Amino acid sequence: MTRARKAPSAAARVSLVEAIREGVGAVRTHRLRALLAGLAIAAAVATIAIVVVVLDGIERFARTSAARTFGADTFVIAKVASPGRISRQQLERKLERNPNIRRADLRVLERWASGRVVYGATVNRRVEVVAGSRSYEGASLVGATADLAEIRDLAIARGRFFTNTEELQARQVAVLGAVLVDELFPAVDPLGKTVRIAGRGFEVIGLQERQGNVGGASLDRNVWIPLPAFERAFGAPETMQLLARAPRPDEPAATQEAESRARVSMRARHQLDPGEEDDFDMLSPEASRSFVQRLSERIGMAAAPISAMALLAAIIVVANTILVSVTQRTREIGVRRAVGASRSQVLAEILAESVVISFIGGLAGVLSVYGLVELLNRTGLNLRLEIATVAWSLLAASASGLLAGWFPARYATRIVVVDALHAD
Amino acid sequence: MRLAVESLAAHPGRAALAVIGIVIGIVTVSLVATVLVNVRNQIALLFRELGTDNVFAFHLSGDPYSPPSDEEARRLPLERDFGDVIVREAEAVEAAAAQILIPAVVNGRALSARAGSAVSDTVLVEGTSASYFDIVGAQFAHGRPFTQYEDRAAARVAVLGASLARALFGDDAGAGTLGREVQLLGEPYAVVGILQQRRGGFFGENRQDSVMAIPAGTAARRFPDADATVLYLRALEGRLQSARTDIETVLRRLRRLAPDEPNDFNLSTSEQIIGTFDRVGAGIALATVGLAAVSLLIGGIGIANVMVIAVTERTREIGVRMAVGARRQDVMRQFLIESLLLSLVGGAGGLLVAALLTSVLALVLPGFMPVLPLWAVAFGVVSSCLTGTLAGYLPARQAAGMDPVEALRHEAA
Amino acid sequence: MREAREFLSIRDIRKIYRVGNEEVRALDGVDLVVSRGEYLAIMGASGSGKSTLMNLLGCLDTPTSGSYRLNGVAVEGLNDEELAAIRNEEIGFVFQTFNLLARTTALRNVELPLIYGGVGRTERRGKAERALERVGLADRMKHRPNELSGGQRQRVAIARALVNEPSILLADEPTGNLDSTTSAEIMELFDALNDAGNTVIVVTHEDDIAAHAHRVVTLCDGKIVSDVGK
Repeated sequence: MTRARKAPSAAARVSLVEAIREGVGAVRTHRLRALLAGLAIAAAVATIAIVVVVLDGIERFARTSAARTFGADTFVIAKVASPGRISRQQLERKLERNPNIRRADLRVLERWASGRVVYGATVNRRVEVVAGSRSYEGASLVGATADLAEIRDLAIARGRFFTNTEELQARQVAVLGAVLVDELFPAVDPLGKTVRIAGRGFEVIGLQERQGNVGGASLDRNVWIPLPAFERAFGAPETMQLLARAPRPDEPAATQEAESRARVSMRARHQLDPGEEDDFDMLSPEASRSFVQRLSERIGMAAAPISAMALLAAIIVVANTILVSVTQRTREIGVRRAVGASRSQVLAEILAESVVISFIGGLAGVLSVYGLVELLNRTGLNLRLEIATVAWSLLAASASGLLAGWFPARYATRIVVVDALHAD
Repeated sequence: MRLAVESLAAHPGRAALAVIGIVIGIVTVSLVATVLVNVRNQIALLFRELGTDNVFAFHLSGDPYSPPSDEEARRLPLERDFGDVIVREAEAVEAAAAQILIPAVVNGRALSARAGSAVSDTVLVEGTSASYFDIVGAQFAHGRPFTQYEDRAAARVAVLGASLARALFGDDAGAGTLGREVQLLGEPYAVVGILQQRRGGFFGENRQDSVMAIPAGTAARRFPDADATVLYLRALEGRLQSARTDIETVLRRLRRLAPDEPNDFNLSTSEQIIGTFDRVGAGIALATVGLAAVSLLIGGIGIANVMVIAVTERTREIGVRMAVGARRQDVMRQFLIESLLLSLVGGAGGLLVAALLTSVLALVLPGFMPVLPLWAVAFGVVSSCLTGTLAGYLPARQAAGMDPVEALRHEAA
Repeated sequence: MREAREFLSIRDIRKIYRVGNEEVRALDGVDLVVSRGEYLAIMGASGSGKSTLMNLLGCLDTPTSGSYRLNGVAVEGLNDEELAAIRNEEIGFVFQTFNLLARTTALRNVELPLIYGGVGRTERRGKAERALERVGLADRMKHRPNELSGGQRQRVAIARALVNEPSILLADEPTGNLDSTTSAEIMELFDALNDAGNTVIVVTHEDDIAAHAHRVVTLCDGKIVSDVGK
């Protein structure tokens, strides 16, 4: 053969396919120790995934709770929206600066809505409700517009909410919450009966479903009456709370548009200059979640280092396994180098073994968490293993594999070929 | 034993890594345990500082500052004078004090304390009887508690908690602050006392440090709508239980409860509250320790791994040993000792590192006690031994069960 | 007619090791020229430097000083990756201890240089099969080394050495682990390969193995002391 060869290129040629094949082969040969190393990674990845699932569960629980309290796509406009969450000073300032929101405001806003926003109004007061010989103190009386039923799901179990006509006529009708039904009408059907509030009689036309507690406060102590009837009994309220929503909130950006239109309308109504701060509060379900987010952040910060330690311990186990693998394969590595494998190729082959072990371990960890989640959901919890979590876990596992195998692999590339060929 | 050390020393890198795995596990568990114990102790201290011989009476159960539950929403608050009645009639009770809780928003106005240009809106305003400070064992850094006279005359004087004083008058709020004025809802109150910083806390915060205490009589006059009252009743030494019973009897009478009606008030002691906290916290603590224990488990897997590798690598050596007379149990024992040694070294090392880290934490964090709870140490030692034994068991058995002839023929790996 | 081109030449090669405070001169000024198609045996006692020379020829090691040109390329200045490429494309190694991958079939063992050389799957399979046919092991392609006899293993190793059409076949005591009958078979194979045009260099300390070669170079204390051609 007469071939002239050029000087060989110095670029490192790496066959990834071969590297992975060798990695898998190495794993198959020493199955037990690869299994143990993979198990270590599985345990570490599982802890990470579980923590994420738990935190995610907490956040979702908060979201559904907020939805139950005042509706999933509803936002609130009030003089002061959540007095418990701001500092005392801010509260004082708002109470001073923000004007009260009155009926006239509501009418104007509705006129400016042009079909993009639906408004309802509520006003609250603690009252005693009397039914015959029984009474309930500390009920939460809500004077509301009839549209409220449209804006948020009031979960009417039996009967109905009041209509626009009834509202206009200031009819004295009422919808009772579950606790009130328990206390005032334990043995009788409340529909059609009369309850007395502030000395006036209201006919019970609807009953709410039991909704339970949110953040310790019961949602079942409400009595809903038409806003004009409230005003007739207690006078025009100082300030009202407006609830608003986009008419079709599933359409994309509909809620955003509704919110911005409402904000613009309010600012115009209050005659604010462009640079001036809002003199009203607007609260969307997002905002109330921030508390829970802070809580889950705290938990996450506490759990993260613990999981990190677990991952570190697992990485060490894998590193040990790979180190042993390299030591045992010294001669084989020498042969490969003699036959022309580049240093990078050897690096790739060792790393491949490490990543294969870690990836499979990560997969096992994720699967076991999936199984655990399914099991726990049977007991009534509502946990979910998101795809993103799975992806991140597998990524973390693979990265751990790279990290674990790095130093043993570097050591492998430094093997002196001549010595390796005579090694044991 | 020496054999074990020699065999392990043959592959120092391997052994070291396996040991480090256990060290990480032990350190994680220990640190978690220390932190949990510290948090719990701080909380316990918070409640114990309120007086271990005291019985607290309130019309609601749970945190007095939280909204009431459904069942208790209709209960009426206790009255200030009940305290005196109880002292008179309950034989085991020697003193009483009342604390009126003032809500944060009064008449649509948020409550904040002002001194010159400094404002604090985290202030907790309480109306307290003159004996309150004595009964809850409040330590004064400067000044004095109210007098009975000030209470009766509804004087506008105040005692400030340590953090509040600092917030209003700067870090050097000392004796010179006494006599200065704090504005509350536009009205001036003269500072007559400043409390020492409380030692206990909930993650470093203690509500008592933000308190502005005014005489109960003043509170009754200035804040007539505030009616939630906590009664602090000090029992004679060693008579806490009988005091509790006595108080219950008197209160039931004062509240005019029929014999079959349940209490419409709540009595508790600091130990009881701590107990409730412990019950709630136990679950969280268990989960956290469990999470930390995973690291330990992984460390154990690491040792098992090393042992499995060792057995396969030394197959021929095992054959040789058997050929020269080692019995099966000798082989088994050797491997078990090796794995135990690894775990114990890891366990000891881990405890050492944990102790070191805890000391560092104690230097850096204020109030952090470098306690390594005994159960954590025991857990660490026991789990190391257990890990070593378990991890080494199967490989050791496999080694012991080898056929010597096969072993000798085995290709050196 | 063979072209008497200078195709492998070594000039003043030295390899010096430092052991503690002492200097060990494994090769102390070696000059060697090999033509394409030659059949060369390198002999010497242990410690003569023949192993070192072989490592240098096979690009497993670099000289402390001196030059080494192989097939037009100056090897002594190449970096590690370039040397690996040379080993892959120009050198075919045959070891005393066979050095096959234990868990792999004969076919894949032979394919190994092609894999590292980046040859595509079908092409490399074809080449490997042909290499195994050349050494007479066409029926044992799927066997693993532990299923083959010593002689068969060495044949696989030779096939591997041949598969990438190297410039030289370098054999280090190729019959050291074989019995006399099998040794004879293997040396016959080398003879046949040389007849077919391959340049063969055998390193050995046994006279009867060296007798197969057409030229014998003897080393002593790091220098060539005799260079006898037939």
